[in-house]
Amino acid sequence: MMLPRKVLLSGLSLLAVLSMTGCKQKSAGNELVVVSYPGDAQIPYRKFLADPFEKKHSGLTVRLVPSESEDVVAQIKAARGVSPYDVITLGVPRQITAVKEGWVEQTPQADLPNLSHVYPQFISACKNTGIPETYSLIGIAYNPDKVAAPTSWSDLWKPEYRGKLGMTTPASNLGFGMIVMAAKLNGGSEDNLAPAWPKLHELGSFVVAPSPEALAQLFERGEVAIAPMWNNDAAILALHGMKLTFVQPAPGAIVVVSCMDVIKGSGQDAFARQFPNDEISTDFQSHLAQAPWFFGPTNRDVPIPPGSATYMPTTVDGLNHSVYFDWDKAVLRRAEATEQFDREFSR
Amino acid sequence: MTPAARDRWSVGPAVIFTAAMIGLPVIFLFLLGFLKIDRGVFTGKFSPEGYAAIFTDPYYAQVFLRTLAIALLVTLLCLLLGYPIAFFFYRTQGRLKGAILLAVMAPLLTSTLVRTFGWMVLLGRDGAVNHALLATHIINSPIEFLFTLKGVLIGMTQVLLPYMVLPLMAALETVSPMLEEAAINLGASRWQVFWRILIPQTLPGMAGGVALVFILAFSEFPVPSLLGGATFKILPVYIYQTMTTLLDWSRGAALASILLLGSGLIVFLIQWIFKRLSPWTTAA
Repeated sequence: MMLPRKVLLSGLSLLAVLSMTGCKQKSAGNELVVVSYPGDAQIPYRKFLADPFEKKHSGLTVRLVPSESEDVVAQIKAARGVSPYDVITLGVPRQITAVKEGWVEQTPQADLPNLSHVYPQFISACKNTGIPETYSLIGIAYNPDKVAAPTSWSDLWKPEYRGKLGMTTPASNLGFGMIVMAAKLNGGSEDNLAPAWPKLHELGSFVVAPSPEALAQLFERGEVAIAPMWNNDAAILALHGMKLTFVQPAPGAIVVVSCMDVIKGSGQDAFARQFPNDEISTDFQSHLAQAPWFFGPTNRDVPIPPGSATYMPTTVDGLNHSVYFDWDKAVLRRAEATEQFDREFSR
Repeated sequence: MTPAARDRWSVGPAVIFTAAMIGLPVIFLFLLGFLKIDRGVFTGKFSPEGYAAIFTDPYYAQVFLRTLAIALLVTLLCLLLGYPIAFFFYRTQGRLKGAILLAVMAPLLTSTLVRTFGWMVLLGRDGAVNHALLATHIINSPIEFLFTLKGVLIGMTQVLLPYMVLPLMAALETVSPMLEEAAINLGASRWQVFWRILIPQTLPGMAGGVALVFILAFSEFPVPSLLGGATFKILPVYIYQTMTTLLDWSRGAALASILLLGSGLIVFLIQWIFKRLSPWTTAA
């Protein structure tokens, strides 16, 4: 049976309008979309934060989107004010850029009563915009069956690790942190990364993963035996039975604070502001700090579990002896470093 | 209105739809390369910087040529592996024919991503391929397949092989067995029949397969990015990084336009070569 042309065209137009309306109304539905960690690191966020949050707000669904990659930022920018996400977790380097570019909102302090429990230095690390949710450490993970234990960052250049080393591109904070460390170990600084390039060439052949989770998979499959790694990823892999040991190499593991931000244009402002407040609650932060996640608590009422010594400093003094980069300076070099890394090491 | 004119008009909606859905995004992509975009923010200014960066920096030419070489190599590998499969299909009768067709089509039922993850497991240092080669004493130490050109070629060839085999199967099925019989009766050897009868008769199918595989190989993203690793540079991977990591959308759009244009030109060239090789197909 032939459909009359007018009916067909009207139907198509209606479909087009409905589909566009659907896109616009993503945030108007009862769903809070949160960009969170991938893999097992998402488990505590689901179990101890998102699920209780849903219970507290009847009818609301919290969707956790696993991603650590920059493509989420590209999607937010492409959406031009109609972000597909409401809340996002950003490491300090990306936080600095996001605040500068103005696509995350400064949540009023009145909406964040739990902020009073947070270490002040972490609040300033997040540029007084997002809430400092956790801190993580970049150290070195190695397979003790295959290589000897490294004790310092400079050990990565030892000949015995040649061909067994893995790292990520500077597109991730993990890879970028390694490049800044390589520069600093060799006379460079956060705003002078040039000494890193010849030094990285001295490593010989090494495997480059596009993301921290891809690097963890390479470890699992035995493609790499030693690599800079997040303490949380190392702890989770070790719990899964991987032959892997995490060390905080001299002069110290690199501390990176993670901030949770409300994205401007979120149609879920009220929920989006409450979610980060629950995130820094003593209860949730206590769960995050436990094995196997070992996310550093930013809430000063949360004690660091004694069993976490391998994966993070157990005292504030120990934390102060870790390495803190001047990310404000380093992020200005990030795009340049990413391009240079591509050119130097593309095969 | 004559029936022919009515037929022409009846394709109007399809033409408009295609033009809108394909033409407009391509035009927008091309123009995006001329807009000044600061980390994903449109500044409202025009600038040729996106294209200028590409044409003044030899690095992009290297990446383009490398992408082209890999795509041509994959196309050649698919042709060399695909023709015997299609030929075997042509010579087979009964249930086996159905089984071959199923075997060729089966990989298309699974996503490229899943198959590529499968290859990552197989081709790893501790993967099944290295284990088999070591166990049979063909090699003494594991071969590095992952994050090398070898791994990418293996993965891309496997993923794209059906796109070569299917047009070749279709072309061979149209060859009349009587032509072969006539050639043999006139004293031609099996090799001469294959080379002088079958190959020329299947050139149009070969042209289709080559064009299809080349286009897909030239723009392939998941296989090289997973099997080649983060530093394996070919144009689609580089475009993705430029767009998402550097947020340099105008340069990314310029690179994508060049990929599209280059792909179109090379496919045109492939078609032209095959037409020259088989003039009888256009003689009428």
